[in-house]
Amino acid sequence: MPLSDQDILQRVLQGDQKAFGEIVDRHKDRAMTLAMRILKNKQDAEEAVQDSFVRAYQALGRFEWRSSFSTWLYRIVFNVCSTALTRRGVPLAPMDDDTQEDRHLELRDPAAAPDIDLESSEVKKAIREEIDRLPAAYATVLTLFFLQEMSYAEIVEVTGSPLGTVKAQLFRGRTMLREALAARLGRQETWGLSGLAASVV
Amino acid sequence: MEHLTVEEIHDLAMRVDRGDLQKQALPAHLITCGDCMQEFRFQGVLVHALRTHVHPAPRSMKRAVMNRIIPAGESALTKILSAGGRVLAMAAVVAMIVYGLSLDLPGSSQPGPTSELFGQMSSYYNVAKEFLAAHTSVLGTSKNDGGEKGKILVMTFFVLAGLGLVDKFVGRRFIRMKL
Repeated sequence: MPLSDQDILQRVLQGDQKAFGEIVDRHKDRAMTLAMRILKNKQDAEEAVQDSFVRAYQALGRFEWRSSFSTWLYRIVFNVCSTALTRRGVPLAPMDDDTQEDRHLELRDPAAAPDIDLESSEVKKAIREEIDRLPAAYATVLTLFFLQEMSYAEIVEVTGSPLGTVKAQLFRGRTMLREALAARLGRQETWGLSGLAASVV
Repeated sequence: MEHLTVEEIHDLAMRVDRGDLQKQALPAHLITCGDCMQEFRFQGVLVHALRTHVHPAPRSMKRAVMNRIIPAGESALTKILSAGGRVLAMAAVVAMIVYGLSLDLPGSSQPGPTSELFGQMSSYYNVAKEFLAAHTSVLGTSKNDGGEKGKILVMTFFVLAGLGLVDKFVGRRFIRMKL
């Protein structure tokens, strides 16, 4: 049975510095993905992730286990990337002030049955590319929610944004992704988008 | 017929993708409604892509991080060579070079090129020594017949110690900054 993060970090704190390498191995790909979604540049993302691991290691003694290690680590990654964006003079993204939580895209008068091949490599490639193109703030919450499987509360902890903003960004991010894909592939009808009430209630 | 909302379909797609919900347990409406099913399929692909599309970190990431958090001198080999060990190693190298220069070629009664070179350097040294002795009063220095070797050894030691300190406090920091 593999050791938990906590077990490994206890070893690190007891002086086994090399054990931290296991932590790096476990989290580097997801940390890199988060950094890429925010910074949109491989070299910058690599530097940010390296810095984040080093900062986490240096601050390990102050970590109080109020949250999981991964939540704490991704908060560091988020902060390092946000700082890097600020240095570029680019804000993370327009923050959604709208904290309305009961929004829905409702299916009304749906379109005819679709014929698009959702399993095609073209569609999959388009989806991956559009995910990478999303504005940083939306891409961040989508990544934390879907890839890291974080709860709303954990995302709030990582980003420091209010709960309503997180929910709004999650919703808006998915909507943007959906619209971008529809526009790109030019098959709105086949995805039933023309029949959707596109307005946010 | 009441369609499911996109949010409801999205939640179902996510639960199926995570393995929390079997497809057989989907709502009856979803299974029978072509439009809702199409939306469900689309959301399924979207959710799966969001859950699996990662940017893998380079293989060198772990090594780069570990090099930054663990000082290079702490590996088993470099521990031996660090600080005083390095100075001693450098001193040993210098001693071996000097010793090598003083050796003759094996199997020859004639002095080898190394001995010739060493002899030539000694003659330059003697010329300089005589010159200094002759001009002691002009230069204002005291005559010293036997202290040169000692001075050279002391100077060598300080030079090597200085190199060791530069390596420890400047070289390694520079390397860390580059990393």
